[in-house]
Amino acid sequence: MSSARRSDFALVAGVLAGNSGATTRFLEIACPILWSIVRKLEPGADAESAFLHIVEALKADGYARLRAFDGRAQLSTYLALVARDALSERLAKRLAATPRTAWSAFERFFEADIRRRIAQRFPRDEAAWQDLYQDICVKLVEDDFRRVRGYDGRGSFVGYVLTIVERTLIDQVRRDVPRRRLPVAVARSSRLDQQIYIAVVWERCPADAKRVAEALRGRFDPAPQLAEIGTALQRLAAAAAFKPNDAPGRREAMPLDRLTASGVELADDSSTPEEHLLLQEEERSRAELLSAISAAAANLPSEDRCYLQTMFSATDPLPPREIARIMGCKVEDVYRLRQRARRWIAHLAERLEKRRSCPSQQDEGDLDHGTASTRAT
Amino acid sequence: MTWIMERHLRAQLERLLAEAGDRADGDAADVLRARLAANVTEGLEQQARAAPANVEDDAEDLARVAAYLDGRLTGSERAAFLASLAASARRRADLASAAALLDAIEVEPNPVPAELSARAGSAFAAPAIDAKSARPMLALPNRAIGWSLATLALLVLVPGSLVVVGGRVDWLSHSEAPVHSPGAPARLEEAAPQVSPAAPIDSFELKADAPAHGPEPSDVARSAPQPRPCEGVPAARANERSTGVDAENTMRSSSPGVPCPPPVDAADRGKMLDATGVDSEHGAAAAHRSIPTPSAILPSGR
Repeated sequence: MSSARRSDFALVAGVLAGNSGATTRFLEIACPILWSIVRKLEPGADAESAFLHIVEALKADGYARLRAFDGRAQLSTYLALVARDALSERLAKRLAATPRTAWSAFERFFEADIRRRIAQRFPRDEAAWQDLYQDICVKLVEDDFRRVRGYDGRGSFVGYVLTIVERTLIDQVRRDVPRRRLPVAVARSSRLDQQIYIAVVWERCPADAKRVAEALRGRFDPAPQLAEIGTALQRLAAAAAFKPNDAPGRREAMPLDRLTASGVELADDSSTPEEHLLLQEEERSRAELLSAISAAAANLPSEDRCYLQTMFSATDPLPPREIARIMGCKVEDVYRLRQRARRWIAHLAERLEKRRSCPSQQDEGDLDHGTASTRAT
Repeated sequence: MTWIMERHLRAQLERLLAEAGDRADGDAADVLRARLAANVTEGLEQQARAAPANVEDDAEDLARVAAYLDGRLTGSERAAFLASLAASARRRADLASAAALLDAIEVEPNPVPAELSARAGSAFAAPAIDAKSARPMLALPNRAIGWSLATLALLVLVPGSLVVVGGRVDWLSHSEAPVHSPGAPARLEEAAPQVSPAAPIDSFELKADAPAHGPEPSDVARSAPQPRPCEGVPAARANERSTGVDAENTMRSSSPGVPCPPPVDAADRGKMLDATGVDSEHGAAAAHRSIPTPSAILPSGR
């Protein structure tokens, strides 16, 4: 135990022994931390009562929360967690009793977390962030707060709510991904043309030969020449308009004032038989991917699985420092974990390829091989 | 999964593992990447669901989480913690939120209003009001045991004293009998254990009017000073507590039933009643608190 932590521990011991000097010093250290937590989680008129509630919570059950401090963490970290825990516990009780009046406190407490999760799942769709936030709030309040009130008091209330948020976001991700079809002209052209169209229109890559070549890396063996890509770009520009963000899943809204006495031609939203088949195919592939991932993760060490779960909790790669914080390790360890994760992914991709080429093949042997090699590194 | 994913699954997954700076904007569709990340999350979650998560929510778990976030968990303890994280989406979500909060408060420290700080001092020093710590020593079922022991002692002492005095039944009027004024109460005084005055347990002074845990605040304000359980601790032992590793050992091994509250200034007593109400929703502090209004998102019909 470092000297700073030892002194934290001795300070808490002094407080528990009824030492007035230690208590004074403890409060000097604790109050700014507790107040910072309150300002983050319960800003506004309730802040003072929230602050005093935390102080009471520290005292409750014979200073049980202080007694649990074992001196390994910094006192400031521990107190911050205790404060957050006390506030969330209070919030859960208030929500169970009077959800409508407690809702604004709920929003204050969770807003930053919900917005953080939205930004991590939809990193560059800033225009949609507010709508997504509202959608999540609606989910939480609907059916008389059914989801929030489903908390049974076990485990962390914050974790419970954020798991609901996460699932709602994943549903949203699935809904938002457009059902894409290549225009007929492109579908009939060469594979290079199709891939360039996908890169430019669907993946928002600038219609520049160099950038497209970069985006196509790994899709062709050998890679197409720049001149070849340039020609294909010109050909496609003539055949089909390049319109990035052309996402057929997001249908254009029809203002009501456009409706006239003569009526308006409204598109039929129902899927065609062809689209229906595509959807079925997508679902089948998705189920296959989930099953492959689940099987491949079966024997992964906890640390590796935690790393993958953390990485894939965001659409954009998280900074190593943030991962290290969540993984409770050093930044250098994050790089080591990333190497192992890459190997795991390579095995996963191989497994999927093999399964497709030989659908009857069992996974187990291959899976063991992948896990063993991951561990060996 | 779209056909793009099928053909470029590995490349797409590896892009998700890349660092933020490695990826050129527009090199893959955000929506597809988001969906792939969501699918992998779901796939990993299916596996995690198979293993039951050990949900712990006690104060010791908070200490463990704090140690983990500070990078202080090692070896098997860290492995066990990681296993619990991997098995529980709820725990991971909670941890990520805690980490984000800690980072946020490091960036934006907030000075505490002086008046609030003073109230916190009073509230922290005032006696805890929770039922557990307020339970008197002779409360049921302890009371039954106490009475049984007292009866037993009486049964042993009375015949014993008769044997010792050798049948001198007139001992009360004997000239050798000690004379006190008044007699019976003096004997009770002698028999009763002497309560030593409040003594400092270490270099810090304990105030004589420091209340014990247990009584209601109103009782504390009215009653005479109570002896504190911790005052019986020898000064030498108390001194040990205040230093480093010894303090650590003492703290880990000791589990006193009634903790010693920090002392309270007499001047703070008045505030105590307000600031330490059982429910922070009551008392004068609540008077200048506004009722939170539901935001626009709240359905109006509810």
